[in-house]
Amino acid sequence: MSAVLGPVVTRDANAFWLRAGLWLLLAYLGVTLLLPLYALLSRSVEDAAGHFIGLANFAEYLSRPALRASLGNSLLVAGLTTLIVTATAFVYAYALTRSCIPARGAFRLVALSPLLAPSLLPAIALVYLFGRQGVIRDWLFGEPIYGPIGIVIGSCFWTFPHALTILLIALAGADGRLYEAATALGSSHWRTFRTVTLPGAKYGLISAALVTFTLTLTDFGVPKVIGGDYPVLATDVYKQVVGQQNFRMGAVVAIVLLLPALAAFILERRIGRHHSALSSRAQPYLPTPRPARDWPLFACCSLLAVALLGILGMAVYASLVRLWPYDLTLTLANYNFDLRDGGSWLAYRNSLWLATLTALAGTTLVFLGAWLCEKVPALPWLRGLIHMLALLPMAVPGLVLGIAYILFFNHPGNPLHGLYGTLAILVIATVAHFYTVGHLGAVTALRQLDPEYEAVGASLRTPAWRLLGRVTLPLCLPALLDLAMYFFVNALTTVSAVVFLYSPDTVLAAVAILNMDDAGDVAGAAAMAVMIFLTAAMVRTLYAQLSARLLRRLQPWRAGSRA
Amino acid sequence: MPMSATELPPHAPSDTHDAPRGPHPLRAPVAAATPYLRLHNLSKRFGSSVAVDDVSLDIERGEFVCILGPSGCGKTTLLRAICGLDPQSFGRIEQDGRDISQLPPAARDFGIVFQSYALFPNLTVAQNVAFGLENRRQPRAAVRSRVAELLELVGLQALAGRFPSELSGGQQQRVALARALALAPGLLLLDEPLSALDARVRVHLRHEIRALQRRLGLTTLMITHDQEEAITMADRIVVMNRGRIEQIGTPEAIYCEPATPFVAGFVGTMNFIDAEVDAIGRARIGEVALDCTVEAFPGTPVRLAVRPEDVLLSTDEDALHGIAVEVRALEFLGPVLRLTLGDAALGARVLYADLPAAQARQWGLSLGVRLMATIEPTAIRVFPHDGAGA
Amino acid sequence: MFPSRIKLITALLLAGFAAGAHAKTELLVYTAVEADELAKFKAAFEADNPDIEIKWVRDSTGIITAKLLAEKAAPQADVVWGLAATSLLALAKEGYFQPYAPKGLDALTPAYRDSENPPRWIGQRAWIASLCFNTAEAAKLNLPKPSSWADLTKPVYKGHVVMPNPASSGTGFLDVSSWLQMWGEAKGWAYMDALHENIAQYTHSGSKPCKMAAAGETVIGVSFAYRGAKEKTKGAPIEVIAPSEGVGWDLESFGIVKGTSKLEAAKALADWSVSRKANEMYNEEYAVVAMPGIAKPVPNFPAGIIDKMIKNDFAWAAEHREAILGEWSKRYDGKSEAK
Repeated sequence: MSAVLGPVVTRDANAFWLRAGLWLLLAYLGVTLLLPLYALLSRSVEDAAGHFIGLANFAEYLSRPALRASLGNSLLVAGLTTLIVTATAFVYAYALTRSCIPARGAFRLVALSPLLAPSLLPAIALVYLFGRQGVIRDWLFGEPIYGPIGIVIGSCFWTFPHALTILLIALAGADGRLYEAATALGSSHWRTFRTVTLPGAKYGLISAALVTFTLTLTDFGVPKVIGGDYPVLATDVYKQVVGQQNFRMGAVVAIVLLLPALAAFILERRIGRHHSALSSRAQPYLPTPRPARDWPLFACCSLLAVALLGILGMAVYASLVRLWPYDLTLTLANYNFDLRDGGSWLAYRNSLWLATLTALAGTTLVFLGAWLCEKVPALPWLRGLIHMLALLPMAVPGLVLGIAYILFFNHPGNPLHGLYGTLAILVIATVAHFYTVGHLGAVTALRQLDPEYEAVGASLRTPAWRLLGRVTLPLCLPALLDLAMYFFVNALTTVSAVVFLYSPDTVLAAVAILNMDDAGDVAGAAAMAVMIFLTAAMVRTLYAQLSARLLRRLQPWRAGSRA
Repeated sequence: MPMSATELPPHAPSDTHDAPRGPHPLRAPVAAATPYLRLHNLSKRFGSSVAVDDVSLDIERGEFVCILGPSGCGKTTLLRAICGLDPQSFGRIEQDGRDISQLPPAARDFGIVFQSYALFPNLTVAQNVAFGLENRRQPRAAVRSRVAELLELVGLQALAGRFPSELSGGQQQRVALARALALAPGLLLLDEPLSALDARVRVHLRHEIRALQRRLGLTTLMITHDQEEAITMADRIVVMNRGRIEQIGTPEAIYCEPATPFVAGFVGTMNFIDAEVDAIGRARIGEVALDCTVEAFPGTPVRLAVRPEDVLLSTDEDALHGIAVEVRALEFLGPVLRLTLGDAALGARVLYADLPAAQARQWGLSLGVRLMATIEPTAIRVFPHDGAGA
Repeated sequence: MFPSRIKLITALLLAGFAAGAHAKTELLVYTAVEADELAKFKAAFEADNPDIEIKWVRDSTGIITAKLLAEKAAPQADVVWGLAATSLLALAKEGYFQPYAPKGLDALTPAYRDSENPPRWIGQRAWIASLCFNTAEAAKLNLPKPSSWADLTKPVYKGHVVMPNPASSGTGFLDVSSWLQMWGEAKGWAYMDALHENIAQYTHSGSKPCKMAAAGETVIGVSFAYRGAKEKTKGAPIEVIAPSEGVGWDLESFGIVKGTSKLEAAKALADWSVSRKANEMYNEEYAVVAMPGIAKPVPNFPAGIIDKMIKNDFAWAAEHREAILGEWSKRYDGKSEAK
């Protein structure tokens, strides 16, 4: 008997291609993520001539009071927004999951609708609501909306659904048995809330707070439009790079912006790890009507929903007014983007293209990547590395990614230089920007499949790609469609990464909003923001209808599984 | 203490050579010469922990072998090494005289049924079974007839067009079996194939699988933690614990002659009684002495193992050679009652005994009743105290 | 940094993108001309030169200037067109432009072009500083109508004046430049210090203050005549005012970028840009154009504004541009809008 010494290696042609796929994926993520970020880092420690000067740039940054002030401003605004959004979203989520208020479906729909709009939309609406000619400007007691107040309100609007989604999930996963036990023990409602509900939602709350903080800190649309002369980090980056073409200082500010975002991200991941899953024996909690709780909650939700709808509605109304506030006749003239300063229908068409291409390319890439990571029984270290890389974009603000892309792709020595200014680079950047959420979604979908499919496939001597095409893909189709939708909507509404990368041919709708607002054409900007919102809403609705019908037609077996 | 299977008399099931039904034989019977599957010193490490530790095992052609052990004993790891899904760290695997140690799963020759069945929910029963066949570039008609043949084999012809979610657990299990047999593998691997089923269906399927295996003469390796399943189905049982083989043997040998206290305790119910060898070679339990065959110095601590059904009871309190006991607890198990017996003479020790329910009724048995318990010396297995695997 | 194999793969990838290109010569033109006019110029030029297609890169004067400077090592633009002469002058000094004398150059006012021969840059038309004054809002707030720059520093206007940031906006810069030229360094900065007290916001673009005034978001917008006239024509309740001390102005000018691979097309655009037809088009919105004798009055332009144009020293402005902007940022950056 001779034992084989050393680890055993498996080889076959099928495995070769899968390994090649993993290496290619690594290369792709390296080129579209790591190298640009490296270019950004290295630029931040170089002088104008490209010599290494250590942290001198950062010292210069700190010596500029105006720039230093933005750091404080950013933290203040993000902190305030986080407090407000986490608290209100918790109440809202609590009402939707733990009470019997009427019209919960409608409330949910209203609260999630800001996801379909660019963050510029609330800022523009605020101009019309609280600006000097705003319809309810008196509500601010003479304080100007241009500045921290505007930034906080605008940020609250668009980050609300993000926090709400997290809290809905955290609160939906309640174990009904705990509540029965608490009731049986004669615990008061308030005590049950404190001892059962709050601890159960703790991680959800922290996670929602961290996400809101990061989103607000790194958002650029709201402060750009409504920030007035109140500088924040995100607008500083823009000012340095676009306004003064000072890439060196832009890189420095970008890294200052990256650090808190990175810290929040790491914190969130660490907390998430401690998040105990619900035991499989848990019973879903079914709330029973209790007017003393339900009606106040209903009032709160109504108030919030009216606020959200008010902002949305104001943007729509403003886009239809001929000359605010002097001529309030309704007109579609503001939608004639080609005659607007900074806007064009080309921008809208480009955005549709970008959204479509991002949905296609992003879904394909992310899903195949997740599949390789999850289902290929080779090179575990490489798969681990790719998984980590896939999580990285979540920690990198869009603005930072955008600058990193300019520095990397616009370098004359880069053979990919030709991509600069094309739609392709916008697609690549957008896919990279939203990679993490897509990746995690695809991984979740794949992990829900029986892990033995691959073993069965191998025992039946079936190549991996055939199993993928015949079984894995059809089973993941709903997740795949969701993924495509996610990429589509985000590509339509995003502005942060692409604002540095567009060219005259590839100008985008969200960028056009910025440019029109810059030129003082706020009505045109509102009109474009409304166009984006309507498009996203329409595509979303169509998607919901079509995907249900499509799945019924193509995948009759799903009906069987429900029986 | 692992034994090599080759030390046991070669086992050849009587019906190995039965020809399968149908026009196309599923597998040509071949006379057994060398063992069909040989594991040589197989080890699997995950980091610093050892999941499978130096396992050697030979399986004859046409044999049905069960690997039995508690969860975490390494049986699943062993199975996955045989499949090539999680290659072994060290050691060699030979199948039909061929070294397959380094082959990827797809290059090995096995069919597998998992606990979850892993049926493809988006494919019909027929498509599931045809999955491996369609890959062979065979004419459609050939695939169709082969699928029909396999479905007939497992009795599911009528359900060919259904989706797995429309089938009962037992039916799904049979589809998985048919799919595993589609490529006429030389080796069938069953990974806890019955544990997801109702008790009644489980018993029924045991017989079906066994009959099918006999009919096809298919070398089969089944993983289970269910001793009853192993005992009723296997030609031979391999008991594993902590990554090592404890014992290999026929079900009778495993049950009646457990080689280690672990096997004794894991398979069936067992009384373990700490005792001491006395001057005349009897086992002394407190103030009671039991006749048994033990060769050891007086005073050696031993552990006696006795099956509850081997504790014979009588109401005759004056009987010789017995242990006077009192019924401390009664557990109704259907056909038998399990009694917990104790006595001042036994100290804190208790003895479990199985008594036919009819007998108990006849005696009007209740708590506190005094009985006489006797144990035949041949029914007592003696293990060294704190012996290996205890 | 980039091995040749990657280059090859990239080249193959790019071949795919390039396949969509067509036979027309694409001219990449950087400009600061107001967006609502660009379509008109593009259409007119392309009608006369069907083989050439203009691709605009439009942004504010400061942005385009910064972009051009940043790209100095590898210029992307073929032509710079409709950018402030101060900027072109500074760029010309860096050797950015290909000297060229377009056909018909002699018909232009000599003061409105580069003094070298052949000229590196040529002026097209002047844009002139003006105030946009919202009469409706002023009436509500009881604010008097300002008639001079000095009026703007009066305490009544505190928080009611918006002006463009000179770092990004050409209009903002010509204001600052004119004040310094009219009054000298010390008085000029003192004026701006006083004005700063009344400023509500420094905007990124030069037309935004006027649009804000038109929308009632501010009472007084420091902007330029074209934008004011345009908003008034649209029906906004504003009056366009040329301050009495004199108004700053700058020339929208063009130059051909040295090293362009599309020199012939660039020359065609240069030729077209000095033509009578082009000058007539310039005049549709601007009162002062490079070709003498064709200018007609533009509706809603402030009366007598041409007489108030200061004697502008482009060379001085170009030379001191960077220093002025540095000083300005140091003093007033806090109230500046992003960008």
